[in-house]
Amino acid sequence: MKLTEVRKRGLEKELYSCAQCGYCQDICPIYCEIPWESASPRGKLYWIKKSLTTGFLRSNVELDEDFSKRLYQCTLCGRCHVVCQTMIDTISIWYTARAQTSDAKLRPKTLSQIVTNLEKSQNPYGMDPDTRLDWTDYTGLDDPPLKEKAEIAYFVGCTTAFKGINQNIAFSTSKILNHMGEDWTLLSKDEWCCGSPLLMAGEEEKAKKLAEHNLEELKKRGVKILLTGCPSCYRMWKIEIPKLLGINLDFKVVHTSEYFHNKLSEGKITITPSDDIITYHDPCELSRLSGIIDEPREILKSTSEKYVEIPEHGIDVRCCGGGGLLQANDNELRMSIAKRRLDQIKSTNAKTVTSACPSCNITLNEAIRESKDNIKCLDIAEYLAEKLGF
Amino acid sequence: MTDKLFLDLVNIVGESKVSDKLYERMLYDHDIAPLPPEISLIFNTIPDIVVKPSSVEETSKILKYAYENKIPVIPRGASTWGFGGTIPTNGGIVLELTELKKLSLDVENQTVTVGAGIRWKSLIDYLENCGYTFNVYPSSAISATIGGWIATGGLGIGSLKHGHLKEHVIGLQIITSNGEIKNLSNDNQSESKIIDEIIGSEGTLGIITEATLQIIASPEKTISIAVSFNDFNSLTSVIEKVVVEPVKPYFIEAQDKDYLDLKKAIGIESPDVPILALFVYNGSTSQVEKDVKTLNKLVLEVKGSILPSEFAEKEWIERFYYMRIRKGGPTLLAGEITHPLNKLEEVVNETRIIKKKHNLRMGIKCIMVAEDTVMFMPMYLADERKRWKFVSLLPIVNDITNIGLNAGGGPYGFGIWNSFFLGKVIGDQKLVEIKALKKKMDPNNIMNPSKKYKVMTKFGIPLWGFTFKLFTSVLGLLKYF
Repeated sequence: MKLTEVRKRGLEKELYSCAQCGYCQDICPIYCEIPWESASPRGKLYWIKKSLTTGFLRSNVELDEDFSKRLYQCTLCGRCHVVCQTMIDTISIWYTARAQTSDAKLRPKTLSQIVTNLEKSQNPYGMDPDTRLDWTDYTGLDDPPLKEKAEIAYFVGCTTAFKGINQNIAFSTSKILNHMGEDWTLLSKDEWCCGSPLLMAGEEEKAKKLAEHNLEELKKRGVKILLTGCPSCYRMWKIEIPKLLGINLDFKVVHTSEYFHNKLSEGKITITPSDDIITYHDPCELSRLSGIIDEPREILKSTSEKYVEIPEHGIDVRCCGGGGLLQANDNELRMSIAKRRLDQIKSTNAKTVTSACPSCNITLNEAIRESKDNIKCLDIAEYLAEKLGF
Repeated sequence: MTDKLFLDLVNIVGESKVSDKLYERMLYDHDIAPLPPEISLIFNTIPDIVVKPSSVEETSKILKYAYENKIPVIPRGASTWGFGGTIPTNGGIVLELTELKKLSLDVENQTVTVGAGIRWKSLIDYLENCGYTFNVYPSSAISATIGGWIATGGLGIGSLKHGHLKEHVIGLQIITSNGEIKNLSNDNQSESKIIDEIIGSEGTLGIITEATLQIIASPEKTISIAVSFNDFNSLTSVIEKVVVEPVKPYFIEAQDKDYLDLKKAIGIESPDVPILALFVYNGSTSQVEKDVKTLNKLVLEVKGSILPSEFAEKEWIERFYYMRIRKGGPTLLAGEITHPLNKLEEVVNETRIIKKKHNLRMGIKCIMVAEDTVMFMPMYLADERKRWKFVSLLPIVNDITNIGLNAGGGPYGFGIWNSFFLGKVIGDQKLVEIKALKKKMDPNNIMNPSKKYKVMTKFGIPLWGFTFKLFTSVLGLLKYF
């Protein structure tokens, strides 16, 4: 099979404009671990280009298992786009190519399992949908709000709701919302996955179904603000869902770091600054791909006088390895990327590293556990809640 | 053969550093110059195998093996050159050196020793963090490797003020074709001569594995000034004056209106001026301020004007992004020649005649690489999806090289495509000398064979200049298809 979908989606000119300059290599988390052309963005683009050309003297390149494997060895962090001389929309090309591997039945099996789980139980982990709110019991959150109408819907996200290590993020966020006296609600089992993993596994149509359901639920509750602490859910709602469904949302999509930053500025939350040496790891989907860079920093700077930066941050952040469903596809690769990032974090001498993403939180905590380093990794909501005494 | 080659190399470096998979090898068949598939009529551009050694010792063992078995070795850095230096002409081993990543700073002697695979920008950033800088680097510094630029160029950003890269190399570690590791120092006269020959030898004499470079303290101040000129004559006259000042500018670059228009066409904000030039000064704050005052005066004399500082700052950051305009192509073809500064206007005029004749979307960019030398880079857009039209546009690159030669200059490098100009550029005597050196250093002709001196087709027949000219002329006719 040829990767003709790239042409159909109008990305052919983007693809051909690759100058093969290689600026995308050393910044690519995958290439740093697998330093072969086929694992680098420019190599992948060259390969796709070859697979699109046919005719006399042209190479007869077809999508095969080897190259399909390479397509999924990608965290979809988007840094290749930022450094690109010709500003190629690489992310769209990677998503499109993945979609075609799913048509060609060449998608890695573990990812197909995720797709099946999402179809059956509306979350990528195959958990019983009725247990979506169990985190409230585990964390001891009293009276989780389940309102028929509310100003704010806290869209917890599957990776926060179902992964034990992240459930304290949901608890912390809830506590802060209660502390501010906001009119908010959870969606309980009516919250389905945002669909982001389906896009990453190349299943656009299936992602649409989830989005339509969620929209209906939000509409029912008359929600004005969709609040989420997950950058994947955030980007999905803010950018991908309006594109997928061809609609404008009639509510605002806000990330918790933006929200808490606003509330701090308005004086609705006050914190006494500490002297914690603290740093922040930008989640790729929040910083580079959604433009939220300053807000989390402002929060941390207002809570600590000793805020430090990690090398390669903001729009130039080096991915922790937690993106693009890499965990399901190649966990060893994910962990070696995480270790490289952890080394950068350690170089700051910070005792606490914060992030604003459940995937980054799991990945960095795993890397810390493996390396037995004496450094704490928290979500920014957890850090804030801790400072507020929850 | 290939199976044996694979197993033998795996024995030397281990499986993770060798690939004989077609999907991998086919990605090593090109450099930044877009090539039509017709090239496979004369060359076998896909290597038999790709190896990525991670130490000097491994590199040496691979070469020893290749020497004993007479297998061509094509050294490769980031492959960001456009003259075919890293393209196999008849298979062989592509030896990618990007994993040679040694980096050691000697503060006392103000030198740094770097592995061939380190990227220039990483080195510059590292040095800057330590309070130092290296004087010269290529405009492709973000990806270009230490070894790659030493082997292919040596002229780039900073060359105007600090001279050729050669002047800042203290020593080189090379591996000769038989696998011998040699540490060459510029303090030793005979070794210094070899260093001189290795720089710019395009991987044909030996493999550079490490370089020791002279570094200096970071300049106190760097300032960039954007200037608009009405014509190339005024630009030339100002450059002629500023480069004889006691302190030369660090960098001078110019883009013509056509190039700026190509940038605008892809949404990059650019000033509406006939020529945009960038003058960059560095050094002590007082000296830089003095230099800027002198420049201001000279610019006014030729009725040029200083543009707002945001243009200058942006252009300085953008110095690495010379291929942005490709977005409008989607293919970019370019000439790259050096010629005397006093011929700039003539070269521009002749290039514009070519632009007009072929109705090209072409723009001109040039940088000063010595006080009297311009590196002239006209770039034009094409679309490789329109196969015959694209192929017909390729020979224009040769026409541009000829303009450079006629102006007393020549191509910036040779590789495959400019190998036919070698004699013309270096003269017959030097040609005999370096051919003798090649024979001495590479008796089995395995070091990037079929490059620079003599190009062989995949059939083992030499490709002479006139046959190549005939070939490209035929390609030129394809526009009528």
